[in-house]
Amino acid sequence: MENQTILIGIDGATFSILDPLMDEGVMPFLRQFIASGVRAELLSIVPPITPPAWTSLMTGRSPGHHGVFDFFLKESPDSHNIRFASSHDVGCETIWSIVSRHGMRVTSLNFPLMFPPPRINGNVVSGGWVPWRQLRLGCHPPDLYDRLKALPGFNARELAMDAAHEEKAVEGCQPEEYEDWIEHHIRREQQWFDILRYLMREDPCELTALLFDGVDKIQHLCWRFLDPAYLNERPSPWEQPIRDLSLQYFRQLDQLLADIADLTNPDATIIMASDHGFGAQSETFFVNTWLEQNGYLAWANEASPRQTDSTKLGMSQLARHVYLLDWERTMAYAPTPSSNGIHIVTAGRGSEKGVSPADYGRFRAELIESLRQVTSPTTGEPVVSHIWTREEAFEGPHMELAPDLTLALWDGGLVSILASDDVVKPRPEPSGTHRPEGVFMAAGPGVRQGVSLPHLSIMDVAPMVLHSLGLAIPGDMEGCVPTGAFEPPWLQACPVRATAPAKPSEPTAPQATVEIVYTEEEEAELAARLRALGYIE
Amino acid sequence: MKKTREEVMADVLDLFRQLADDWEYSGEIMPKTLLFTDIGLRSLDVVVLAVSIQEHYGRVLPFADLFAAMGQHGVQDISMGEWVDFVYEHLNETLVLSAVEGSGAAR
Repeated sequence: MENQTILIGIDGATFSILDPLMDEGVMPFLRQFIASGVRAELLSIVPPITPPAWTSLMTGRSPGHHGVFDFFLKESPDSHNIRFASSHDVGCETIWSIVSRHGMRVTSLNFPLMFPPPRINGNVVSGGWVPWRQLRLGCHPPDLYDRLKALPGFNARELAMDAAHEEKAVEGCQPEEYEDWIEHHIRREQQWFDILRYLMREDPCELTALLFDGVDKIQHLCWRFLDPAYLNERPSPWEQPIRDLSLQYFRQLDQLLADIADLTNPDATIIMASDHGFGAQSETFFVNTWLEQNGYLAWANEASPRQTDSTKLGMSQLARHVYLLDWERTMAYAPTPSSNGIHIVTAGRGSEKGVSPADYGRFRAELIESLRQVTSPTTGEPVVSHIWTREEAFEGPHMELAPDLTLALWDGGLVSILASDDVVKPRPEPSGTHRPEGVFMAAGPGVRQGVSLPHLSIMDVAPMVLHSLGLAIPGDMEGCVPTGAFEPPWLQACPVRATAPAKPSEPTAPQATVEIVYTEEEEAELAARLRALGYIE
Repeated sequence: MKKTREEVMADVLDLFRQLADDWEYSGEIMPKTLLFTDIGLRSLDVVVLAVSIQEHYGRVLPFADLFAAMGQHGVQDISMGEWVDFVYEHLNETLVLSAVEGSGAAR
């Protein structure tokens, strides 16, 4: 194998946590790795959340071009319905596919938006919101799942996602659940490493990539036990073990990173990156409640229960807006708490109600101005620190599916979509939430040593991966190879080459033309059954 | 290739039976089997299975409309037979899924 590149994703990693942990000796390998290479802050995209950010990292394109804006997507520009975002929605070629079509082999483990798995030359285990019951379908090639199942310690229930379990990361959990929850992620990262090690030994690939996503989850729930600014000088008997276990997670992660480096050729390039950074969220902005109080939104049932818990964002309420809202009287709404996006109901786009196209600009400007007036009861300062229109944030062929407005809150937090009596409520304890500033670290042939670079874009990672494998960079990639990361003589010998725009990958879905045959009786029976489901009137 | 309702049922049952071993579900999966009550699936399982069905047929199917309608009408469960009805109803009318990754073909 002439070239080998290892890409390690660390979901949500931020130097504000990693630096103190390296200084305290919790992550000695990472400290040594950075000394042997380069580091930089890696600026995420808008919004800095997992699905669009990892998709930007995998494609080198912005969300308006790759088409992924959130965990869920609108069914169509005219629809109020949202659906699970899948690999079918990724509108640009990924590095897995590009490397694969150049005749190299690829292993891609636990990256989101890779379900169903692309049929590349190599191995894929889909990540993201793939439940354990469907993990077999998330594996490529088809026999991979059975091979993994035979590995000692394989446990699909822990390896894949459990939605109810994962919700705890953002919505919180009971004090007695913290330890089990952190230990779950310690075991989970070990399993992903075991799979990586098996595949690196059995099927060495030019590009091997693994996403560790426990950092994001631990930081969401345990931020106050990690951020030095929030550490209690005199931790309670309950707090100390949680802090210790959180550190144990990072200590183990550091060891796994060291073990991956040991499995790698000495002349390989190793790149580590996160999809976004992290910080504290101290308040909750109930955006749909604010829209309601200002006459932009109406609940279908005015007596619907109000949220009294200031920590709840509504992760379990996803997609329920479709029947919780009164569409005759709603002009703007936030369907998910994950993207901080507001959609404007526009007349003529699937409904006669809503804002007329002629009034759209005025209405949107009024909404922006009103949102800027919302203030925190705690600080008296504006709650919304920045508002992007979709033309500003999502320019590209898929912009029509994006939220009309995307909010950044003063504390970097996520909005709540639930009904509440108060628009803004302080949280009893700060929780972790996303920030745009993620991490980039790299070492390998030609990479400078001990250098801290100015910030890079998350879209620069894909070109760097391709360049490390000797491949030209597709002309339509928005990111570029961070040339400052390399020694000038090496870069002269291995210059960055551009090529034609990336192409859609080879069709991977079955192309069978399916023609359905049914009789009149079958049609009548069908209609009756679908009516019973509420699907047709 | 023409697909009858029986063939769609066979396809979907085959997919579920393939996965049932992993679920350690020992009951027989039949048209009247309820996805939530009998098999123990959760909402996200059903959503992901919908994506797999689309992958299998290379078709975009309006599952989001089905799930929204179920929620709106308080329908708590769906049987294999009803699931197949929905797939069968829409297979002939929906968009071809021309590529899985690289085209944004699901829209």
